[in-house]
Amino acid sequence: MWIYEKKLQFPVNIKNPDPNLASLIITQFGGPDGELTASQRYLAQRYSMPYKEVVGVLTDIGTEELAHMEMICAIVHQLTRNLTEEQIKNSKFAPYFVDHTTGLYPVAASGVPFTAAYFQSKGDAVADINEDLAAEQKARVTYDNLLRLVDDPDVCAPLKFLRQREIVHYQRFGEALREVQDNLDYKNFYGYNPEFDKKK
Amino acid sequence: MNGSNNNGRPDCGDLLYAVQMYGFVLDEARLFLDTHPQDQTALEYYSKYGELYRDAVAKYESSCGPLTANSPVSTMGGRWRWIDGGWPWNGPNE
Repeated sequence: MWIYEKKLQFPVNIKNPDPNLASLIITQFGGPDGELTASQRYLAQRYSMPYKEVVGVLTDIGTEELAHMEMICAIVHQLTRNLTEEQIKNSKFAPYFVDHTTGLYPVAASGVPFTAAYFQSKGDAVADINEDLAAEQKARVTYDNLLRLVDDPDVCAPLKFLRQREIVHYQRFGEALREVQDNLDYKNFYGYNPEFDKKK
Repeated sequence: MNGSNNNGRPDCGDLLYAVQMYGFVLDEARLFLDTHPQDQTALEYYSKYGELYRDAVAKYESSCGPLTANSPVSTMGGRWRWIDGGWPWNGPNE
């Protein structure tokens, strides 16, 4: 089970609200490569994973993604705090405001609501870890794209931290894939699925 | 839960059950305190069971391994023990 710690993994202290920026950054909450889908992907995949090192990676990265989701929500919240109706009216945040006011709801930058179809849990160690490697790279690109559009250093700092974590997670998933393959027949990695077939 | 010992060593299933029991007491009392933050009886109850919970965790971890990754026993014995000892969703026999 989980215990909540009353802290962010990295500080978020944004002085100037910016509703346009909020409507872009929210994609890392509820978008196709966001932190919500990341956490649910890894935490769902670990139950049938037979290798304890890999279960450790899925559990600990999945847990860290929950903390990243909280950081993204903190950024969006601080960017939409104390807005005037005039500021909202003249921003791209207005359609979101109509449905959710300034509450946090998981959507993509395009406005599409979160769906579990963004992630897969295939029940096959090679397929799942490859999905995870791709997911970390896609999240890294999303942070790169956001950082192209952000000037405020208060917003850049946590985004740069989160981008860096994607790279570290990619490295760890690479090691997890090696662990999986070391347990399989090196002549045919696909000869049997260690999450389903009995070991020969 | 038969309370029996294996060669005088406490049973990890029993020790874990104590952690789960005291842990749930805290989970339940926590919700009550969130909406009754001045309730003195509930405060004393939470404090008393908090101590029993911490004792139960220490006993479990010293014999059976870490409950959280940042437990002091995770790094004992020259090995990262966090990943050892099975995962809770597999049940006690795996």
